[in-house]
Amino acid sequence: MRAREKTQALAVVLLLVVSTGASAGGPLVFSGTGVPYIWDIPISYRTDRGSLGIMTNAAAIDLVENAFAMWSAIPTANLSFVNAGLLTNDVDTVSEFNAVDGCTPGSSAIIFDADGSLFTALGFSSGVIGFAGPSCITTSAPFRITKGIAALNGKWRDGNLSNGELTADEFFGTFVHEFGHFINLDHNQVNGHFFIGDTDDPGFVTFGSPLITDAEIMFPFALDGMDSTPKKDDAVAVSALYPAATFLSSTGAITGHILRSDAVTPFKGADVIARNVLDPFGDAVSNVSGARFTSGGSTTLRGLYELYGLTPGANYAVEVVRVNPQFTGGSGVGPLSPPVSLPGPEEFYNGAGEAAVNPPDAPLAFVPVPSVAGVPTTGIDVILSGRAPEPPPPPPPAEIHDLALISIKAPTAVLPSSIARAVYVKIQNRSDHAETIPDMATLKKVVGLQVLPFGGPCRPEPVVTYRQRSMPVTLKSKGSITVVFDVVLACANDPARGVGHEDYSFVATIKHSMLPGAVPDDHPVDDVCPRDALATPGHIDPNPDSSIVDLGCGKKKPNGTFGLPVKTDVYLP
Amino acid sequence: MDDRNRGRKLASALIVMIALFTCSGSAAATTMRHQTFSELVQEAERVFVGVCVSALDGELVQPGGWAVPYTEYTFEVRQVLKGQLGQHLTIRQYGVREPRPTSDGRLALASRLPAMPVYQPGQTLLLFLIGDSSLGLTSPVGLAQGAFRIVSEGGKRMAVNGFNNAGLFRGLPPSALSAHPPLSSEELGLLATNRGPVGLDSLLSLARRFIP
Repeated sequence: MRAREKTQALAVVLLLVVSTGASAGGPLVFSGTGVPYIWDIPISYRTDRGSLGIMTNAAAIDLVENAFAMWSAIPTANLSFVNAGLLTNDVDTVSEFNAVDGCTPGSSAIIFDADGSLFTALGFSSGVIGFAGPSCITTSAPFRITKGIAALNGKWRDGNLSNGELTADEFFGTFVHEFGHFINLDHNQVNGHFFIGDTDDPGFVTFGSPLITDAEIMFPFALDGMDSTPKKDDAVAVSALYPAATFLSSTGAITGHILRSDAVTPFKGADVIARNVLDPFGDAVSNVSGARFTSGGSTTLRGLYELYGLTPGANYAVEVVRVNPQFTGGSGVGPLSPPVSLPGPEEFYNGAGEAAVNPPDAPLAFVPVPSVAGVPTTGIDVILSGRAPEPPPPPPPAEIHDLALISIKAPTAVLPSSIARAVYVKIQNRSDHAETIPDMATLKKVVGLQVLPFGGPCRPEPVVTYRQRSMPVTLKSKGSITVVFDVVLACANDPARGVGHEDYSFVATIKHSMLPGAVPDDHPVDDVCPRDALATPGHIDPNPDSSIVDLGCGKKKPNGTFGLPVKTDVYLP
Repeated sequence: MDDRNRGRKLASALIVMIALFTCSGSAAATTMRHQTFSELVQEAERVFVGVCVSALDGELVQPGGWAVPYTEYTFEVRQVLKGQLGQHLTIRQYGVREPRPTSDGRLALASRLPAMPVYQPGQTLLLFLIGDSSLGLTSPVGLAQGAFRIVSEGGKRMAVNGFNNAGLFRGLPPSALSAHPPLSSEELGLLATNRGPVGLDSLLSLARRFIP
């Protein structure tokens, strides 16, 4: 169970005693006021009496002592273990297990399950290799771990490949890690996440790739090839819990807060890593922001990170990265499960350039932070970038509204008649979208035809008769239709026939504004016919997409363009 | 080869070689092997979708007076993929859900294995359970690896285990990929999933392929 989950589960029993925030590169269990639990030193334990897989009891005890020694050998920590001898019984059954579990009397028990039968009896599936941790704690200050337990499943070292097998190194490394939890260390994330695909940290981008041997022992996943030696971050974590007398005075520290883009609100759950610029993977220390903050603790702990054990005189690049999202539940790193995403890109501390936006705060730009022995460098606050504000989407291009007249065709010469003659007016949709003429009434308003008499009393009224299609009609962009007007040319103003004796001319108009929506036409120059060719280079109409050459409307001119009047001669025989 | 290149080469070789999960919490920690999805199905004696209807802590008193703490869960079984199950199933998992205070003011923490899933009444789950031990205790295959909460996302039923499905489909046997009938596009989508909730129906469909 992850620490925060535990807080919920234990609420009734613990009240404010244990909230168990967790801190990557730091402690696993805290008091309700943010004080980490520790053991009194030395830590005493007893070992089981039986064998462990192919290992004799003596070999198993060696393994345990060597695994504990990996932690006690850290020179900056005051940590030691005492093997107090063998347990009273060989723990083979669940009852015997319960006799040494929890807060039962006696030293902490290290149990060797020779063949996995105890694990099986406990109802654990075959994949469980072992477990370890504190089993009993005080509920008031001083906050102490008073007993622990560990169990090692010998099935994984029984020489039988068919039921799963680990190498001696893997098995040993597993329990170095487990004993790290036994002394109250949380998981951490410094270099190991590079090997599970998280390669774009600013630190990796800037300093290159770590070696697998740089992977920290408290990394949540065991990686093939990693060794069993606690790394700098592991060592600092245990030294912070169990400091040697000179730990704080002989090393440097960097502290600060991780802040949201408003530069005020603390951000909890970011992994903060200080990398020595001259040894970025070997000399690197981490802490998750806000790890020590609990509901009962000081609010100054919100967003706080604390990086101890730094090399005096070295310069550190401080980076803020996300906790890998795979580290959830029991594999979690830090106080939050699942881990939170950063609100912006992962980034370095950038000194005076710290800001919520880039520029000035480029994620890969960093200002080294010096480490001074015994003098913490404080106030190294990092303002997380908000997501770079998305550029406002370009305004949608304004719609083009353009209906155009492109031709009028009328009879050249006719006899007077009460029979209607057809005048064809061709229109084109030069809008960038389809236009719909919903009905005949609208069509009559949109397209008009005037019959202009020359010098006489006859004034025929044209009547629009849109014959070809049913209504409504939709004109796609650049599409055209012909509107037919019936005109009764019953009399002649000039009965003679021939050029100069024409009786009528025709002028068509088109009004986009008469369509539903009443949007005026963007390009009225082509709204009348006859008219000249467009006065644009190449007579190109920019609407809708500069693909239309407009040579005018009306009768053809000698120069090949159009624009002369369209006339009809009514003559008498 | 300089260190940087060496590291890069190692990275490419190791990126898929996660062998173990370590699982901390409850002040203790567990290390377990990463189990493929096919192993979850094959090692389970019971695979079912059910709704947790009750959770009770109890103790099993053993000869000599030692009590084995357990949590008893009862499920209303909705869908069975493997095993002979009735409408209800009651199981016992080692450990109680809450630490136990002692008379001298301390608190016994190690009453439940880290990564041992806990179920809440009302939760719908897909569980891959091993057989009962001699004491009648069980747990999901791979502990939290074999316990999937069913959640609804956008009206679709999704399944996610206690490790956020990390690496769930890694290391599947090639036979799974050449199965007949061919994998559906949804099943192929699962195989490309590195983590995060996946569609329950697709997951069940894939699971059936590993059930003889």
